[in-house]
Amino acid sequence: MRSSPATIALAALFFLGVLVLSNPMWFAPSAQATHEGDVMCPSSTVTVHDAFLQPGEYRESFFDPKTKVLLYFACVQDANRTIHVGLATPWENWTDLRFQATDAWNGDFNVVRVSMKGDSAEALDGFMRGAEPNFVEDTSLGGSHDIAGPVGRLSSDYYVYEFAFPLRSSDAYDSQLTLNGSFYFQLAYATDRATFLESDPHFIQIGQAPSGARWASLELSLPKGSVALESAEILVGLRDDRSRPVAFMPISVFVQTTFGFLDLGTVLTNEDGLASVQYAPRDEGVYLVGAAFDGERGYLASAAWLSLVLPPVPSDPTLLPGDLLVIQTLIVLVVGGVWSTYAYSLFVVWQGLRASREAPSDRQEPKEETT
Amino acid sequence: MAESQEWQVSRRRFLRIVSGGVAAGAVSLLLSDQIFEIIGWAPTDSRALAGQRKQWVMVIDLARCNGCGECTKGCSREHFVPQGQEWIKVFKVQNELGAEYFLPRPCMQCENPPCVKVCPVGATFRRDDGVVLIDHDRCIGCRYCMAACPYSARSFNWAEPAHTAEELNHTYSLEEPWPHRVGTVEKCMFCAHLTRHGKLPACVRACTAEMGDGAIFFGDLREDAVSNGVETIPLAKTLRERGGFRFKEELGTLPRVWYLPPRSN
Amino acid sequence: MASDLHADPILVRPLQETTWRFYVVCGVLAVIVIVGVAGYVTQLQNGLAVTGLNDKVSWGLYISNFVFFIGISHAGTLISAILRVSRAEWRRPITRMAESITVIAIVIAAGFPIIDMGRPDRLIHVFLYGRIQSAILWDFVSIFTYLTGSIIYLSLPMIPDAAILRAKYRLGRLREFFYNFLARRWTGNRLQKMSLEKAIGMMAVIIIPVAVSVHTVVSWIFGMTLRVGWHTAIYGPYFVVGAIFSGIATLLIAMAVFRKVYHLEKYITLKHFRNLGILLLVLDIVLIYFSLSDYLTAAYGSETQEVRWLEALSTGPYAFLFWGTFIGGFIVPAFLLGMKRTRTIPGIVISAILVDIGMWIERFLIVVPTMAAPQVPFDWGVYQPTWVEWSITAASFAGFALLYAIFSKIFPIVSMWEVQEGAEAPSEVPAPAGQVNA
Repeated sequence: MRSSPATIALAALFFLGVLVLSNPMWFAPSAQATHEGDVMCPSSTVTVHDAFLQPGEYRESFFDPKTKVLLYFACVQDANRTIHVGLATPWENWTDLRFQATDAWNGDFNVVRVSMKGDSAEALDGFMRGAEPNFVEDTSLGGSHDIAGPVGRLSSDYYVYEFAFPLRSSDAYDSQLTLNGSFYFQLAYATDRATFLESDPHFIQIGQAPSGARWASLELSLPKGSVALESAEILVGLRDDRSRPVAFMPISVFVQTTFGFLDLGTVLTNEDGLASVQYAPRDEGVYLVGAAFDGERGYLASAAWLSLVLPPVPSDPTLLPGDLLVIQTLIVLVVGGVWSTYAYSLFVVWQGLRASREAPSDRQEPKEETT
Repeated sequence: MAESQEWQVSRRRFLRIVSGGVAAGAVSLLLSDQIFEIIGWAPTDSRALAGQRKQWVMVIDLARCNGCGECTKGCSREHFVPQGQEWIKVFKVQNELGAEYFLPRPCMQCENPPCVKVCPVGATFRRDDGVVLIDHDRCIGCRYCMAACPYSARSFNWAEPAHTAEELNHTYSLEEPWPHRVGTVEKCMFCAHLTRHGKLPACVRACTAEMGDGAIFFGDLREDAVSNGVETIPLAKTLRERGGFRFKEELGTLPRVWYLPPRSN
Repeated sequence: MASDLHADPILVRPLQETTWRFYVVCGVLAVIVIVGVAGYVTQLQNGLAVTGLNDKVSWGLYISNFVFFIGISHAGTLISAILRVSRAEWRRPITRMAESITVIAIVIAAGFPIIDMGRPDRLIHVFLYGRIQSAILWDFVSIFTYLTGSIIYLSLPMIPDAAILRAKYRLGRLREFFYNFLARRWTGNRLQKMSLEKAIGMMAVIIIPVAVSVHTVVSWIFGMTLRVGWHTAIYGPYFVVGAIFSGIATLLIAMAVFRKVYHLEKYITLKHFRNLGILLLVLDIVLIYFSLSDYLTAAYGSETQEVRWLEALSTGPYAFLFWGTFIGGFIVPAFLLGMKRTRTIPGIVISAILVDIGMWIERFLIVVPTMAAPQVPFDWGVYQPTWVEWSITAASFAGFALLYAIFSKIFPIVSMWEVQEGAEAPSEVPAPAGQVNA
């Protein structure tokens, strides 16, 4: 093979073309999305919308480290090509699942925005253009509310939602994916009324078989006995769908603090599927601890939450420190003593003046006049 | 003779009255707490209540600080800091062997603050979340606190500060002390108005905005975690591993600002 | 046997006759005071920015003037009270001069913290919200106590003189008002005399610890901070001794002036100058001892910050003032007072003037170099007083002199009855002029 410059250039161009054409991401105007899993769409489903995430309901999962939201995916090849989503989130206000099922993502999102309203879940179906905070409900855009059967519940320390939506929708703004392709998504949660904190963009491949879908469930607990200040030990346990321990898996543990999540460490479960971390908060209060398993070696991702409650430590009521009181008393005595002496001196003189017998106006000698 | 006897009697009475008065004053001082309880008056300074259980702490990584001064600019913008004042000031430190580093110095929000000790009218006080605030309604401008601060962290409004319309539009509060007033003292207050809402102080954000991974960390001592807006690190562990120290520790002021030594890992 | 006390004509003449020279001097002093007031008005309008003060050196001339005037207020206490308690007879002609210095100096001194305040409109806050933990509050209490005690201690011995003047002279409505207020019921009988002596004796005893406490507390305003040069245990004694030192010097100057102007050579003699001069010398030596102790301790220990401060004083920007004070204000007067050849009235008065100038600079050197010394890396402060500060300083001295001069025109500057009491046997009771010879 003769290597002339022309041949090399041609080969390079060919190579580049393959790269470009094979990866739809190159066209995407936004940040790079990461591939987080794959999902097939069988013709039937076992997903039940009851706000309980059960083994067998879902085929793929993903835990987002930035928003700490756990997602489960399942796909059904029915009339609408429905995607079922299970979502476990610690956030009280809105949690967003923003997605676009497409081969070439242009940065726009369809949004499912969920929150609890009393005992039941409220789910909004909307659209966002790019990264602008311009969420508009589909109903205002001439579309319809496509979210099927949204349910939700508060499960001790976090919220669980289940819902579904079609990939073949009649809405003009909803994404359509009739063939296999990428499902781009981003998670977000509301920090206050107007501000959302967003995750990085990710995608899963629809129509590809996942590497494994064994159910794993993570649990956080405290050892027997109450949690004392300065010595909190937290136990993590990983089990499969038959409650058998899942050993030698990395679990990352973190705790929510005022300005972000503090990483408490990544620990490996032992043969019994258990591991532990230390966290020592210094005062009474409620500290939200979370743990996440990223889903390795055929297991689905999982997450768990636990509120560490430290009871108030009885403290002394704030009084003036004793020595300060002594100083104040000394000052009062000393200063009081001085002023009393003044008063007494004046009193003595006044007594003397009062005892005079002469009329003050008597003057018997002529006065000298001033010049 | 009768006169002096009468005199002695009234003198005795006088002495009795006076010494009784002084003793009563001393005793009531000693029993002041119980008396306050009985009459139902709580002498706790209500200004010192923070409304949330936090203990703010700052960690400044001198290994990362490059002396850019963005923290000062961010702080000045946030608080309409008067001309000539720098509530967080960056100093350049050089030792005799030529090594140099930068030292940003905010108010240390000391747990044992010399400034609070000496204020004659209680215009500066320590809040129960650790922030030392200034009550500009009460400050008489004697500047004793400025003489007492070992870190020279306080500034004074020597003249009427120049105001922008935006500053004048604002209503004065303890946590947001602008419009600034002539003849009173100013200083850093750990951005109490931001941290109350879970937002990081202006200097922390400015540093991270400039450097990507800022040198100033801020957090709650109780949670044992501090954050610079990008990463959250464990407090005690970091101080232990990196050899964290406080400025002028030997003075016993117990500052709430820790420094990580100026050497890179 | 002069049981009827007559007024001493020499001592009364200043109250009767006022020369044009007095009016000229008062006029000049009044002008200086007015300029100072104008300076203060400027400061009230534009804030303290009109001074040379800044965030580094936030205390300057005002505070050093405050310390200085509180210092010279210790004149009255020493002379009058200590000498009275120790029964030194030679004190008699100069007690009133000393006591009036005290009162006037405290009044002037008390003005300075107010002038220095950024918000003098909020002075009432000190009363409403005063914190007993603050040295400024201790200062306030002790100065107020000292002022009240000094006024009482000045007024009580004025009662018999006021009685004499009231009875024998007609000196105008203003003076009559004061004399009436003090001596309306005074007849000079045995009981009254006894009660007055008793009261004055008590005041003399109590005013001594009060005076010591005043300047100790003032020293603690500085001593209780953590600043280099200030945070030293010797500040309490140092300030008190320095105060008495500058107080005696001021008294010596006042004695010299009044002696000349009111022709009081008969009353204020070389002996008075010599005795006070020796006291001045003793205090000078004590002060040199304290200073050496302070500076040598700092220098030997060589703590970084203290070395910087010492260098600023000894070889740095303050070197001229520092050595000037030490040599001109401490060493030279020691020689002048110590050598018999120079222990004359002119020599002693020159020493006193040197001492007062030296002590004023010393107060400046206490306040400013410590504040200029850097507390954070290498951040030296600079202080350059402005015309506002100088004019107010000048006004304070002029105001002091003016009030003193006016005082000497209302009351005889030498206590007549005390002098006469000392000339006679102590048991004789001076009777008021109105009584017929008993």
